Amino acid sequence: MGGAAGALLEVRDLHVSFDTEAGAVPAVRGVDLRVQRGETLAVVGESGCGKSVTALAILRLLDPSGRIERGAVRFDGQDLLGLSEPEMRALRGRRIGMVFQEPMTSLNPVFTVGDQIGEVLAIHRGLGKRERRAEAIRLLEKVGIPAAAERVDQYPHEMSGGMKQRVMIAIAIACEPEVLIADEPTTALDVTVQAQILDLLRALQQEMRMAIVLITHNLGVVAQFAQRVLVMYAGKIVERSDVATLFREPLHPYTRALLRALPSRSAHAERLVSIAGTVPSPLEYPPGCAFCARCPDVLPRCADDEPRLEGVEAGHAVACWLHAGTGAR
Amino acid sequence: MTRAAAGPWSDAWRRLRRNRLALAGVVVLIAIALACIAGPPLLGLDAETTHPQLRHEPPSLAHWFGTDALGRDFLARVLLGGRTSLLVGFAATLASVIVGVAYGAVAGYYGGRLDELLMRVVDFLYGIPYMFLVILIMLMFAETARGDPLPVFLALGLVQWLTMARIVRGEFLVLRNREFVLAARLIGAGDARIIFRHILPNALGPIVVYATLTVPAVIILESFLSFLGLGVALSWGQLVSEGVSVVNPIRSYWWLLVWPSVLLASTLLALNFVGDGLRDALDPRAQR
Repeated sequence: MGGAAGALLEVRDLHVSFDTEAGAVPAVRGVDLRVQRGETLAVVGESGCGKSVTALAILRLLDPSGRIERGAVRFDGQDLLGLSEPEMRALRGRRIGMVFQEPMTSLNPVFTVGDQIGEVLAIHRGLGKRERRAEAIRLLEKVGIPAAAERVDQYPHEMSGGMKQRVMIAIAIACEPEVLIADEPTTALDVTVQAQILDLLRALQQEMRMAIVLITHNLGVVAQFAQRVLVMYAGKIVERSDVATLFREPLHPYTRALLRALPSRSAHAERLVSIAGTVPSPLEYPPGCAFCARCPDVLPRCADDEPRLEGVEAGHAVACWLHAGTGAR
Repeated sequence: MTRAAAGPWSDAWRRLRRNRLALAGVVVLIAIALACIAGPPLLGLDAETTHPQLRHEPPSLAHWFGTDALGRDFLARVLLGGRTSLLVGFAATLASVIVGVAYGAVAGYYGGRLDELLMRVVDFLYGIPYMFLVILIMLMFAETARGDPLPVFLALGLVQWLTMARIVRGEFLVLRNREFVLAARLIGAGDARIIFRHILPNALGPIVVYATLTVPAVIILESFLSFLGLGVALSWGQLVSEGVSVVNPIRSYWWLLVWPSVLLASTLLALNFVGDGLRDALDPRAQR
């Protein structure tokens, strides 16, 4: 973890909780992340581990019941948590874009896709009606939609899921943001379409030199796409590494379990491997490591004593007692 | 929004066009409205001049609808009364739509305590018998504004917006959690833009349907008020009321009751058919 001062997006010690009838439920419990210009950072974890909440917290778009308890979010030197709502709005969609999981319902059913792409151009670039339409067509072409000049006047229900996700991407990149947060961008799509969308994102990233924060539960996607990976479990980061190291030498038992659970094409395994047990409810996180109840290598101290994220070698850190103190090597 | 043929509004229009009853309703409404607006000047009718020698003339070629107790041409009076009734119906509905949509949108969009507060106010106003409210307002204005239908709009609109507010609030409560609203926030849209550009168009179906059904409700209310003698202007309700008062077993001036009643009933029926047709056309459950 170099002390690179020029991180474009930096989150430090982020804590988010949600008010429920059962009290404040912690969803994110001390997440740190740094994204450099032009790089791709993957955030991996099961549903409910706090990945999406982290992303929404960065953009300050949590539900009214969600609250950022503490932590800092800095983007290009600005403290995002200290900005006013209008300043935040000026940033969203212009310098930080986001694409999320549900392309089927993310587009407004009563407007044409051209109108919806045009909206972001009206908000941030103040383009007139005719310019918006021309730009929308150009953007549709850029995200690989054939016959863009006709598609621009279509309504969302006339398009397939992959096509809609392309439209969402066109909206997200319309103002050439410096960071694109992609929250499970391919989860709702067919496998073949998934690959196309990932290829598109990669091509756009190279062309526009934007950083991508890729949130996913799919390690296969991570391997193809990211340079660095954060593995999250129960609202915390349990392992941080570059992609090659993570796949070669996963340290946290949770990461190992995730990798084992990845279906392989060559193996003759007839059964899919799964991780025993379930994620603990946020209401009853143990005082120690949240993974201890499912961990095959659990130590006596794991249940009560919480391991901290510690570096074991350059660019590789893990929060696990199995590896505590090995960083001196 | 009329550009592409596949938009949600053109879908609805296609469904509406297949509904014969609703189409007939539209035709009847347009015919009655045109007659009320253009009829009197076109036919050179005069609703005010009295002809003492022509009192209670039955319908004839000279006076198609007959004449009333003062010898005034009854066709002219029915058409003028129709103007008032239709104007009251549409204006009060418009007022209720504006107030109800704004109120319901704010309550549903922001939710939480504000919603609680706003909706308890609505509940409270619901609790007051609306006739009482309307009569109170009418009496307040009765002295200052004789013959001016504005207080009627106000009084009726004030009562009708409550249900509209509830409907809109319910729609907004559901729609604000849809992904496209989050997507709009993600591109930097503010509350006003989200409310008016993103959510409202999606809630327009129920609003249009309820508004269409509010028009006849208001016309009935106004007629009822006129019937009770609380109306302020010449309207169908008032004419029916006068018509009823001259019905007696010795000499019946049937035309004084029949014409305004028939026109009032046809208008109400047509409006209800249109409203039902719109509901069928715009009901999201009817879509694939």
